[in-house]
Amino acid sequence: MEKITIHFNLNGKDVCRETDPNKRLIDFLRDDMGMLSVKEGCSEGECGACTVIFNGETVTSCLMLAGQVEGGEVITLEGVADEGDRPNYIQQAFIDVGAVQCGFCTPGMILSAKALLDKNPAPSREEIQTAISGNLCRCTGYTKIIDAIEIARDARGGAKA
Amino acid sequence: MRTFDYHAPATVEEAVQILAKYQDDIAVIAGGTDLIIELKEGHKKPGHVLDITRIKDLKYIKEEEGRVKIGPLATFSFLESNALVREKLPALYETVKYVGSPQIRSLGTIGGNVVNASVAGDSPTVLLTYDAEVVLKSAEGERIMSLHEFNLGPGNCAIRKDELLTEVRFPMPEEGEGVSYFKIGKRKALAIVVLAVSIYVKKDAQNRIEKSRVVLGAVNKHPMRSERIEEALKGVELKEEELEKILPLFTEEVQKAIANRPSVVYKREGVRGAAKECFRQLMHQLA
Repeated sequence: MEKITIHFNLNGKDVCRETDPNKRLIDFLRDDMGMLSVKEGCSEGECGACTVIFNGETVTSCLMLAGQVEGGEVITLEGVADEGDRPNYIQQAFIDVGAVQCGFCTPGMILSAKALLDKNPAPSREEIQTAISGNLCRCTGYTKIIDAIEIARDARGGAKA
Repeated sequence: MRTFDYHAPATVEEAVQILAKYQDDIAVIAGGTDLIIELKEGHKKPGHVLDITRIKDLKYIKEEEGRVKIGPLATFSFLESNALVREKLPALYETVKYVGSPQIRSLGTIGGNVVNASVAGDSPTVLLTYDAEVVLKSAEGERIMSLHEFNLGPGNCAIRKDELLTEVRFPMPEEGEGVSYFKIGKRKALAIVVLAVSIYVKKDAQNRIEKSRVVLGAVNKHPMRSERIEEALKGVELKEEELEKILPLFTEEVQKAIANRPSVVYKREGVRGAAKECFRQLMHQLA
């Protein structure tokens, strides 16, 4: 079968890469591009561990073919940190409040939080809950994660009066 | 996943040519939320995959000549954030916002939902209530079919192997018409439909129901219209105590449709609550 060539923007850099047509996006990102923050959990779109941001929206990368990102923009956790690999404001809030236990869901959680805050800088607690409703966490009970996203929102001055 | 040749055309014309050529050995991918799992598990092993997501002009929703027209690549998140849906199509809005999860709503499309025809799918029920029809294109030409004829059963619809769904459309509800939808899932997020009720009514000048369509989702093999309930609703005043008299009929319809299934015990009760919610929405819309 013929290989395909994919042109897309990964974490702010334009990339052109040849790959197999039957690769899922998650396999392409991990195996070809080395983006190991993208975790494989359930492989059927139920757990959110493989979440990436595609053209501004969160998607489960286990349910896309690599070729479907042609011409688009993909952000993984590797593209979230501030300059010099310093944690960005959302990551810092997760660290400060203790929102990470085993850490497997954390990349997806932070990307869901980022997609929300990029679009809506002042979300309510309920809107935060909806935004992470496709990301399962079996350790924290979610409270600290939601707290962290609220702290991140407030750190950016997005708190609701 | 078995390997395949990957086709990603930018136009419908090219897509239907590819379908015509490989029709016995090809799978169409839009959102991919169902197909990728089938490919990965080996339930489908096509030699060719047709990716239609690069056909940019298949992603739209618009109001035209009194009709709502939806492109098959309209994703649930696209519809959820659309002003026409939010302001004028409350039942469709109620449907799309509870599909899967944010990630699934970014990927999943209305076209995929209709063509996959899952018993537990979200949008076919409400689209049948809106009296939708589908437009199917092939290299030979175009067919238009009511969604009622199109739905054939679990995972089955009347699309030919060489055809592409290119539009879903339905009449824009007018003054005095309302459409409601209520879904019961096991939880709020990431839940398939356990049971759904969707009701359209047109009221007359005396606030009585002149015409209705009642659709039950995830009960039968495909969304099911109940002529018996529609008949009973004729002339009923849009008032809570009057509408409540109809609720036992919903239970009877479910009992009749799935008498031998274990879920009947739950569904025949649940349907009443879902129908009640639908009546509430209608009274609110038509007040």
